[in-house]
Amino acid sequence: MRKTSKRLLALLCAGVMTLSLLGCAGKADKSAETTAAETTAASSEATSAAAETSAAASTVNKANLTWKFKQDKYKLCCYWPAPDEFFDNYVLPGIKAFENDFGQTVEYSVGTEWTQDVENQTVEALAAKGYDCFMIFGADTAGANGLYEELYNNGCQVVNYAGLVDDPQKSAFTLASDVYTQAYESAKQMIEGMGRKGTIINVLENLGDVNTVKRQKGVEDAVKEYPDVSIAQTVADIKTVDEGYTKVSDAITANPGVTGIIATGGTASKGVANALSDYYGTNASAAHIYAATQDQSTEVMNGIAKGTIDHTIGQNGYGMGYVSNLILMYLKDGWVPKTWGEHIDTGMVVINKDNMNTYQKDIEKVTNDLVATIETDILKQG
Amino acid sequence: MSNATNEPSKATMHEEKKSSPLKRFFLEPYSSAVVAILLLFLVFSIFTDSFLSRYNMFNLSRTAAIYGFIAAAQLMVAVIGGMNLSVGAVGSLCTVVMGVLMQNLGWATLPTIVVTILIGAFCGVINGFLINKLKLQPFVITLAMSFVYNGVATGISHGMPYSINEGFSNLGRGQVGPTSTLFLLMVIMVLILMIFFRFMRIGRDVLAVGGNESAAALSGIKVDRINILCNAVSCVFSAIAALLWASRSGSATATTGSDWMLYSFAICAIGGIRLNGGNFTAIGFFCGAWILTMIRNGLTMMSVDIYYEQAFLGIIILLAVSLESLRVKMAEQLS
Repeated sequence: MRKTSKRLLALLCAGVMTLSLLGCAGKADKSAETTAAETTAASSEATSAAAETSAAASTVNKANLTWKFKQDKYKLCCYWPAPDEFFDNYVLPGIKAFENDFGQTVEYSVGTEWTQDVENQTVEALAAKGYDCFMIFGADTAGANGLYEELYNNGCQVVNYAGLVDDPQKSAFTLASDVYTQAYESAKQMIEGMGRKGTIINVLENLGDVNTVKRQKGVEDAVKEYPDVSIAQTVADIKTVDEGYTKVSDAITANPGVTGIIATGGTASKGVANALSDYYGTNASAAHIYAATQDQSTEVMNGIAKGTIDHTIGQNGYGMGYVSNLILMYLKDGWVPKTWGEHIDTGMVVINKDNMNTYQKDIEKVTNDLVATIETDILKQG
Repeated sequence: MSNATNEPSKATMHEEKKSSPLKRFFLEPYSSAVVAILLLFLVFSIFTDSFLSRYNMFNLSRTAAIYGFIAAAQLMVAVIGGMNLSVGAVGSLCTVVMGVLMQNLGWATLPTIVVTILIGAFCGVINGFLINKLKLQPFVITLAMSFVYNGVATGISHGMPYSINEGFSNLGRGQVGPTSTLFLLMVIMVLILMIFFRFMRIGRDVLAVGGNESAAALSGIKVDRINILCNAVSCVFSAIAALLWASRSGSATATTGSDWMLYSFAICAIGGIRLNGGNFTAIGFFCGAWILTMIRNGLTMMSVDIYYEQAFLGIIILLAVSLESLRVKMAEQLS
C-alpha cells in the first residue's frame, strides 16, 4: 500500500512537471498579447488610459525617414528583467506602435528577477535562437557591458534602454531619460512649489547604481541654488516598495515640520506614495508635505489624483520602445552611430493633477522629435 | 510562564522557585532579548528627538506587529526543527489573491480575508505533505515551492499593484488608545501561541517532535500530522502578515514578502528561539520582533550615514544577539 502511494505520488509529480513544461512551451509566443491586454485591464484608470492611447495607433511622423530598409523582417528582441508596470504600461505600447508602423514583430522576454545572471542566461538563449537585434535593460550597470560585448562578438546589434550602464558602455546607444536633469528639474519644481523655503527629505534607491548617484547630485545641485532650502535627511538603499514605505514613514516622523519630499526612483516613489497615503490617513490634521516622485506607477497616479503627491516625472517609455527598435533596424542595415555609446535622452514630462489624463500626447510629441533626428543626428551611413 | 520546553524535572522546578528573581530572570532564554530591547529603547530615546513621539510609537507598534506575524510563520516550523523558505513567497501569493478578489472580482473584505487565509493554509499543507512524502529536507522543498508561489503570484499580477477596499485600510491604520489595532492583534497572537505551547496537548506534542522526533514517534505522537499542521499554520501566519501589510500600506503588490524570509529567521534567533526545534518563548519572540523594528526605525531617526547604514544595522543586531552569550555566562555563574 505504501509502495503504491509512493508510486502514485511520483507519477503525479511527473505529470505536473510535464504539464508545466507543455504549458510553458505553448504560451511563449502568445505572451506579448496577453501581457499587454491583461496589464491594461488591471491598472488604474489614469495609467491604463495612457497605455490604451498609445497601443491603439502611432502618431509618429515618419516623413523624415528616407532610408529603404533592406529586409522585410528583422530579428528584433527586447529584454526586461522582471514583470513591472513601467515596461507593461509604457515601453510595451511603444513596441506595439513600432510593430504596427513598420510591419515587424518584436519578440520580447520578461525575466524572473532583476539580476544580471538571469538576464545573461535568457538573452544568450534568445541569441542562440537566432535573434540578432537586441534592446536590453541592463540589470547590473557594470555587468550588462559584458553581455553586450559578447553579443557584439557574435554579430548582434544592441541598444541599451531605460537606464544608464557604466562607462565605457558596450552598446551602440543608450535610450534613457537623463536622470540628472529629471532629478534636478523635479527638485526645482518642488522647491518653487514649497515657496522657495523649507526642509526636504531626499529618498534614494540603490546606492551602488550609477543612476542613483546622478539623481542624488541632481537634487543636491537644485537645493544649493536656494539658500532657504536644506535637505533635512537623505534616506537610501531602498530596493523594494515595502522597504521604501517603512523608511519614508520613519523619516517623516523623524523630521516633523518637513515641507517637501522627493523620490527620484520608481520603486522609492511607490514607497513614498504608500507612506504619504498612510500618513494623511492616520493624521487628519497633518500639514501638507509637497511630494515629488518619479514615473507613472498606479500608486503614484492615485496619489496625484488624491492630492497626496503634487507632481511626478513621467519618463518616455513609449519612445524607448519605439525608437530603440527603429535604430536596431538601421544598425542591421549597416548604419553606424555618429558617437558610439551615446546616451540619447528620451525626454520627460512633468505630470500633475492638471495633465494626468492627457500627458501621453506630450510624450508622443517628444518621441516624434526623436524619430525626426535619427538619420541626421544619431546615425550615419557606414 | 511564557517559556515552554520539554517538561523540566520536579527537582529543577523546586530549585528555580527557591532562587532569587534576578537569577531566575537570567536563567530564562528570553532575558537577553528583554535587556537588548531596554538598551535600544534607552539609546534611541536619548539620541533622537522623535523616537518617543506618539506617532512614532504608533508606527513602531504597527511594524513590529507585522514582523511578529512574519516571524510566527518561521517559528511554527522552527519549533519542530524545520524551516520555511517560502514565508515571503506565500505572502506574495496571498497578497495577489487578495488583490484579485477585491479589485478584479469586487469581493467584500470578510470573504476575501477568509479565502486568502485558506490559500495560505493550502500552501502550507502542500509544503508539509511534500516534506513528509518525499522525505526531503524542508530547506529543499520550501525553496522549490517558494519559486512556485512567487511565479504564480507574478504570473497572475504581472507585477501590477492592486487597489484594496477602503474599509480594509482602517485595520492597518486603526488606533486603539495609545497603540494600534495591529499591535493588539500581535499581543493576541502571542498569547494564543503561549497557551498553545504551554497548556495544550497538541502544543506539547509539537515541542516534543522538535525536541526529538524519533522519541516522539515512539511515544505515539503522529509526527507526520504534526509536520503538516505546523507547515499549514506557518503559511497561515504568512497569509495574515500579507493581509495586515496590505491593510497598512493601502496597496497590494506581488513584491510584498520579498524580504520576509531573512526577517523571519532573524526575529526568531534574536528572540532566543532555537532554530533546531524544541523550545518556544513568548516574551523572547515578542521582543525579537520589537528589536528588529526598533533598530531599523532608530537608524533612520538618528540619520546615520546612508552609506554605512547596513553596517550599523548588522553591528547592532550582532550586539543584541551577543547579549545571549553574555546571559549564558552569567547564568552559569549564578547557578
